Amino acid sequence: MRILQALRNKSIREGLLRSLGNLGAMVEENLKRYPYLLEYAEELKAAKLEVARNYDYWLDKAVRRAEEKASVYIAKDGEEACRIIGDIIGRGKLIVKAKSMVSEEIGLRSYLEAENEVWETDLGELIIQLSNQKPMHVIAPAVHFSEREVIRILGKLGIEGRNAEELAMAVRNFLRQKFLKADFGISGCNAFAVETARIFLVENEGNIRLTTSLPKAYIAIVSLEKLLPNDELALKSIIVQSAFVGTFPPSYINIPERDGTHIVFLDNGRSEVEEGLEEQLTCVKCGRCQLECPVYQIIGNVWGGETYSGPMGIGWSAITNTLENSYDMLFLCTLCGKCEEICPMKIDIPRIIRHLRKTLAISEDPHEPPPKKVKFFKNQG
Amino acid sequence: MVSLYKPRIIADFVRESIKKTGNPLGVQSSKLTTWHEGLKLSERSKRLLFTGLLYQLSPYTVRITEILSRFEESKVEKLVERLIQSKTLRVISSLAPILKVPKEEKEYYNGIIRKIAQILLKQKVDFGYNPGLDLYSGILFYEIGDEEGFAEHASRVVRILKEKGVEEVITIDPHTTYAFKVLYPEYTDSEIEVRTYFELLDDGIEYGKIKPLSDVESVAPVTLHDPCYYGRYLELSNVPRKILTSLGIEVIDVRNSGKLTSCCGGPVESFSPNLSETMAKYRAEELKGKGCMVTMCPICLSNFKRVRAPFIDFAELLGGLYV
Amino acid sequence: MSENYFKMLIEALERNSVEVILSPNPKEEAKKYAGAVVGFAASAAADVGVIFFTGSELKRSALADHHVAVVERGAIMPDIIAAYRLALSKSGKILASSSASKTADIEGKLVWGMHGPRKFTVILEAEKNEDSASVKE
Repeated sequence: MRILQALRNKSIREGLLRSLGNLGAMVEENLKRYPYLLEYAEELKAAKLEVARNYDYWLDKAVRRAEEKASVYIAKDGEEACRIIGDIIGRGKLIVKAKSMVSEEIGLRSYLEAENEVWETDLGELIIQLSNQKPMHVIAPAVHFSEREVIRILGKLGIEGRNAEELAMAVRNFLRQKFLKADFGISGCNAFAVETARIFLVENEGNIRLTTSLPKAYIAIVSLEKLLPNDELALKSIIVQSAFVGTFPPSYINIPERDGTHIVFLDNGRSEVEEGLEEQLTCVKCGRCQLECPVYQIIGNVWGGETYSGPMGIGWSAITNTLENSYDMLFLCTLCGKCEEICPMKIDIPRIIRHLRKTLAISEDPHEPPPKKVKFFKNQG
Repeated sequence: MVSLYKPRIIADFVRESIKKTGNPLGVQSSKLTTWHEGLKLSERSKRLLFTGLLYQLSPYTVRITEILSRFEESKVEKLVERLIQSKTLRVISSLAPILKVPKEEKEYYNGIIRKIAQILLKQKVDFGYNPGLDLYSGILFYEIGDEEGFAEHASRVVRILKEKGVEEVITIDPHTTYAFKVLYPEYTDSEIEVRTYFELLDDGIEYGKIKPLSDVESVAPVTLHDPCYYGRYLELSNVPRKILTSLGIEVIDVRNSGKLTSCCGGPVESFSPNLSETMAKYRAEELKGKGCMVTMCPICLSNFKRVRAPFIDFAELLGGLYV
Repeated sequence: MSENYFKMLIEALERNSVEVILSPNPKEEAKKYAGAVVGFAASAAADVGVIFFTGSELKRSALADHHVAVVERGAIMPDIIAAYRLALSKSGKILASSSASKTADIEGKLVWGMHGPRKFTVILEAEKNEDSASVKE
């Protein structure tokens, strides 16, 4: 979609503003009611930066602890992660998926769909799967679709309903059968406690609880920035994340511990971020910056990379090497700084964008050799 | 595929214009410093009014943006880009006649600066103005990620001011203010004091000097659009509010003000003028009906005016009250 | 457990749209819910209304239409972290719920019972003379 087309598409703005209206007020209420959230956020940022300084150490430790209860794999990039997961699964299997941005990042669904039956089980993400689009928002992926459009999209599956409630119930019944028969459940991870190798997941729909417990086997994709030293920090991380999304407390906290668990640790650029982008690794992907950004509110995910869009999406796309039309894309930011102001981690996103304007100007200049990526954090801890 | 005017082309244009004329649009500098005529301001004062040229450049920006807006994503978009790259435009002092900027537009923005000067004079603030020392801050270099270019430009500005013995500048727009208050100390060895004109007025209030000369009763409530640099980065949004309140004017704020202010869209005007306009429209809608809409940044002001949103500058409001 | 946390928990649960039943004998009270899946809480976080369970409750409660949790007074902790620790001392495998399952993915319209229970009820152990009205005062 081009910019002018997005400007005419009022449903992007309507959807995002509706979410901001619903969730934004909740965030402010949460912060007032639970003042400790800000302390947690601060503590979390320091912990995440500390871990990021030494991913090698923490990953090694995480792998050793995880091996005590699961099959463990390390994927350097998205391609390798898909191959590993594809090998675990084989072909002709029924797979249920929890919504996971990391799985979007590595293109896992389409990779598996080639030889398996794959279902997104989060309602919004199922709508995205069926409409062949990328998520509009990290938490609310189908926020830009009207009820009427959802009726049409779900109709492709023969799922019928006249309104949100009927549609949701029809999807519940449809997917319940899939959950009960599924061979594999796949989820991402909101936080991973290294000390105990526990996976923490928050949600409201209950699909993650079913995805992680019902199928014969379970695969978790854990990207490096989710690593935290212990349970307490992991808990604080999911608390901060959901409080800043606006849905706090989350309806469910899941900590899957079961037989038949496979854990795939994913790097995909995270352990070798260039200097200047490291702060992005502390992002909890609450999506608040997407809702509050005045540019995003108008053109939505037209502004961003293949998977991650909006203010947080620029840094993430750069880290995971998926920033399309990279240099140009950076100039849709006005550097207004609202994202930093409302970010729970106080990530200086305008600085990250200015930084990329500098480095990409050099790397995309045909007359200059691209700058070498340095392993910035290596051995500082 | 996202499409916008190629930032590299725009950035090159800006860089070259600054090199040639000292300002990002390539307008002859002497044309930008005529606003003070007749005010008899001293050129030798250690404390200078430093406009940073942004108010004066606004009518030119508006014209250029109108042209860019018309051709965005059209068949001739590429042609416009090539034109921006062309040698003819790079001898940019020729730009002004091509643009045909209406005289009254220039006078309007010059008038705002005059008002600021007059208010300061009325408040017995001791300051001068030297057109030769009224320079562009270079903040666009910083914003496009060219930190070296910025440091170089900023150092030159600081050196020139120092050579002439300038110790303090009074700024009038948020971009120049941010450059002087935050960036210059970081990127140069600047020790120049910097205050915005409204901070100086605020001092006046504290000393009980400021008094409304006209009838405040007739002034409707005001709603302020805080520019991002003032409201968020510099946290100065309480100052204009204090001034207005002490003059007896009611200020009505929306949620998105002060530290949470929402951008007018101005900074993307040359990359996607249509996006910029849409942002301005929505922001204006948000503030409509609350009171007289006031801002204090030439980029915000001209962007709002481009979408015909009835904003006035803070200096216009104050000027109307007691000059 | 202070009286304060007890009241706090009731308020939090009600904020989360959870049905709260006070009973001096919660286990007996739970027998009234024959059609529902009844589980015993390992702990509860008073400030936010998050109820922890041990892992043995997992599949049953996830598939239930109506999930009922029995919370004894001794299980009430001030916040999530303390509740987590208490639950963990009872089992290495735990999970938590704070409301029925819900979604707002279509036009932001709230629908209960997306994939999990449509209803979540908490039966709280109360003193004999306590009822909802007197506690909330």
